Amino acid sequence: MTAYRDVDLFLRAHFETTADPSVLDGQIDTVLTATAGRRQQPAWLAALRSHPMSTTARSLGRPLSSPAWALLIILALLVAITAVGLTTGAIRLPAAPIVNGPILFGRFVPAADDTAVFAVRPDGSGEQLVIPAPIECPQLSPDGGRIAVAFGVVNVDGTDRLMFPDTFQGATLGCSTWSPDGRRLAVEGFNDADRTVNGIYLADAEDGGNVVRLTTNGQDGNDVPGDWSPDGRHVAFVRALAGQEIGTIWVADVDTGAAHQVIPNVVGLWVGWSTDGQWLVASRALVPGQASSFILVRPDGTDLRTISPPANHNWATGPTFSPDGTRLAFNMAVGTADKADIYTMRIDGSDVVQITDTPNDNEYFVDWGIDPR
Amino acid sequence: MDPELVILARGGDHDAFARLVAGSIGRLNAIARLILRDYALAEDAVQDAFVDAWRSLPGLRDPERFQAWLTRLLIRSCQDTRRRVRRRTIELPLLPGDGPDIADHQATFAVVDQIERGLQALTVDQRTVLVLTYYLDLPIAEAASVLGIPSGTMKSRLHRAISALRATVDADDRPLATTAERTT
Repeated sequence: MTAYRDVDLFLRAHFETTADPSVLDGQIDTVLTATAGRRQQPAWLAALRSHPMSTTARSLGRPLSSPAWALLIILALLVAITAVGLTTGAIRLPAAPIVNGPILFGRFVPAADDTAVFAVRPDGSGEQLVIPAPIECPQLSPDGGRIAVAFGVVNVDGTDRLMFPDTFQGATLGCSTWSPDGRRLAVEGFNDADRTVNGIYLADAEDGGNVVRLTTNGQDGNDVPGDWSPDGRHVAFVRALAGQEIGTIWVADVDTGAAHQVIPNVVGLWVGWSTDGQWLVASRALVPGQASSFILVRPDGTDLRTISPPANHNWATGPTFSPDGTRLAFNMAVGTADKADIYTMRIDGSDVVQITDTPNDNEYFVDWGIDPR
Repeated sequence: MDPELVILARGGDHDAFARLVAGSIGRLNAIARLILRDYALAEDAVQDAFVDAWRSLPGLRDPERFQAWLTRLLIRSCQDTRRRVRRRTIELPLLPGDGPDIADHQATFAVVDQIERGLQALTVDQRTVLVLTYYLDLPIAEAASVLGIPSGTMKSRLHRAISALRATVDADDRPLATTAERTT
């Protein structure tokens, strides 16, 4: 086999004569039995999965102005300093047996004056409409098969939409988050006419029943549920100040309802919990005219870190961990834009990936699912 | 493959899917066996590919591309199967007789034997690019698409696979007949 063409000839002949297309006894029946017992995926998820769910970075979609470059350089230095701090600190990326799947997000639809749910691959490709408007605060179930909405659940293919009783002892039940086993929901309860009922309630994800009260706001504000701890024993939430869209991070014990403030720093109305259980993430409170940032903190309130989204953003909110714990997804309005796109970045603030590029649409309610292989 | 069957199966018609399975399982068996070189593993990979195909069919936009799409699922399944086996550190059984049992009318037994042992020494990824190129006769761009990699990467993988095969064969003690020698 001294020449390339010889390899060509040898291999073609060899494969032709050794390929064995015979079908084993019972093989087809085995395949049909295995497939008959499984549901087909909804078209949007199947289409996303027809390509690998890579997180290969795309460049930022919009050109940055000269002053923006200067700011970017400064921010890059800050990020580098932060990255060094993170590297030398105690942050440890978890092992990643879980494969990152699609990113879900809400997009405001002016014609419907409400939100529709879309899904996209982690590299920003393959955007699909999942559930048309109107829908509120979508949250993917841990197995990726259902979406919690206010207040009910719906299959990811849009079927079997169940709306649960949305009042309990005077509280209106709204947005909710899933327990790790997918059986319970932590749901925000509120009543503007009787704020004593404001707090977080727990309900069965199957039918919205078996409701119990978990927390009491006690400040005439709202308790907004965030992620559950991976072991299902705690719920992180933001205790909002009365009449304001900001608050502080708290953690409640699911069994006892006992809650403690994690840190006094004021944050936006969402807190995510890393899949290894080690970190909480939230956005710093929005101050008009100032860039926002994200904070990472241990559930016991120690080891506070700050991450600055590396662009001249107008605002950045809603950070949530990827299933493998290595990245954050969030929404961010760049420059003077008043509408946000979806982005991801590594938890040290590097490797920013712009997921959506829709200057005329506002996107929010970011959630990152597993790849349900 | 009848696109109408694909459309019906895409809509959830399992009987139509059964006919697609019957019409393509032999081809998939051949590909999986060439890549994995183990009948049991190949059977698992083919079954996993069909299960994946059934679940993912609603996302297939072009029914005419069913075969290419199914091949891509099989290749991915073969790679997943091999990775699972590696993680479990199971000793791979060799094929019965570890070589072809069909007479090769173009090569001598020594050539066949050398190529067999050369292929055996390659990685699954290397055998995959060779099977895509020399068994399925896919152009570089299409083979790259099946693997989900750039064409340039496909070319370099093919080059490395051939080099590895050549190195294995060259290291063999027995001389290998060239095309010229075999045709004279």
